Amino acid sequence: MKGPRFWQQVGWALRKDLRVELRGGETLGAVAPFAALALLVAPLALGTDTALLRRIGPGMLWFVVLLFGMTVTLRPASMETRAVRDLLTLSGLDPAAGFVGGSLASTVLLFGLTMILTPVMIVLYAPAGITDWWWLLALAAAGALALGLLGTLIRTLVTGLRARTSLAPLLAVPPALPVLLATTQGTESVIARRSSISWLLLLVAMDLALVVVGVLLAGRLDDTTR
Amino acid sequence: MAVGATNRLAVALGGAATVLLGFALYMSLDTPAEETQGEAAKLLFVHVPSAITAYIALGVGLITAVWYLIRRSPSADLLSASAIEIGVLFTGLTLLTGMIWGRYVWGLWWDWGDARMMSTAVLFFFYVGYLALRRAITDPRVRAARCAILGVVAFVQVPIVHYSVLWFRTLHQGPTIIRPDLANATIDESFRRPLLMSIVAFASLFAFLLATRFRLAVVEAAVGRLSLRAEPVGGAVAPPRLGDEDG
Repeated sequence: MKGPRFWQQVGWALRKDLRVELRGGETLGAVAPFAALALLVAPLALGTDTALLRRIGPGMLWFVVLLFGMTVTLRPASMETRAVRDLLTLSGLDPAAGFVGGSLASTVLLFGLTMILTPVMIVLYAPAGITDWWWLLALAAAGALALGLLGTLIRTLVTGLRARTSLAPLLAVPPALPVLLATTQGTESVIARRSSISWLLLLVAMDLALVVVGVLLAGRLDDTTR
Repeated sequence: MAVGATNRLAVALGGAATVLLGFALYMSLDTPAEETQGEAAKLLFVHVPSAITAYIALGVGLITAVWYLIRRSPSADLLSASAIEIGVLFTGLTLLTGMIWGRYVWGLWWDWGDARMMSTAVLFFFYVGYLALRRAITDPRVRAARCAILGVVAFVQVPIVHYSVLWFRTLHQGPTIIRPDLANATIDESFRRPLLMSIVAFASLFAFLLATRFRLAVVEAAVGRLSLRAEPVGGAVAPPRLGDEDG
């Protein structure tokens, strides 16, 4: 597998998914405003106590990214018809390259979603001022990659199923909980001006484990989508 | 394995499980009330064996899923699904009995900060997702392959549940029987014997349920194959032949 040709195929798969997003604009036009609305509405249910909101702000941000991000990651499953999958197979796309490319496309979109929602969270929940923006960016990138990889893996499991819309979140959210915990704790550490290196390393370890699992299983999963 | 043979095996295992469960119940009720927990401690004779049986069931599910991925044996797929279904049942029982015990001993049904409770709940929902995926796929070949992959991935959660009490110092007590340092169990002899008996009884119950569920799965698969071969509805109605005259 894995020569220059592999990375070329990863690039094709990445560009395909990003081009679909660019033409449809669903993440920017629909998911991001809806997620921002969720951040606005949640305090009405939880209570508008400023001290409470300041404490739960980072958790709410990543909770919303997890739930709404799943919509972004799993959306291609509803668009990839049997004809599209057959065409990809006939074009000689390495399933592992397809997995990595699809995951990277999801990561780019999830990172973008997080970057849109972070200022919204800061304005609405008013946590203490953030000074270590680089740490926050690194946490967002590692978290988005973990969610992107996991979502792409689950997306392949539910490809072609009628119940995929309801089934995919049920399969994706339980294994995503460690990512939610690590990103929330890491963001809280950044806000409290403590070191968040351990949370970042935990996310990187999860990313590596998910890449290995995804690449190893991509071929077997691809067999079942035809 | 032939359905007749699994039927006889299921009957034998059912008999053994009934006798062992009877012994375990007698020994459990015969233990004295625990010094601090009182009679609530007897719930542990159900809670701990349920948790260990869930580990065994999900472990069997993992091994047979790997077996399916290597050999593509339909029997391995059915055995894996049967074991995981029973594993979900015992995980649910573990959660339920743990919550009831916690209500009496800790004073609350659910502790959000407890690593063991949270990780067990996540494990439960992960495998509920497995069962939902299984029901959603109709093609047996696709179902077997995708569920085998999920069965392997989902098992990662089992050691996390078991070691969560060592990695995180929260409300749930550390391991008393299956200790990672292989040291002697930290439990009084009067409780250890009925607990071990309960574990053996629950393991035999698992074996009985597995044999029965596997037998049912084999029959379900056979019915599925027959319904695929059956003539479609309306197949007996022949279209009118063009050119025929009415008479």
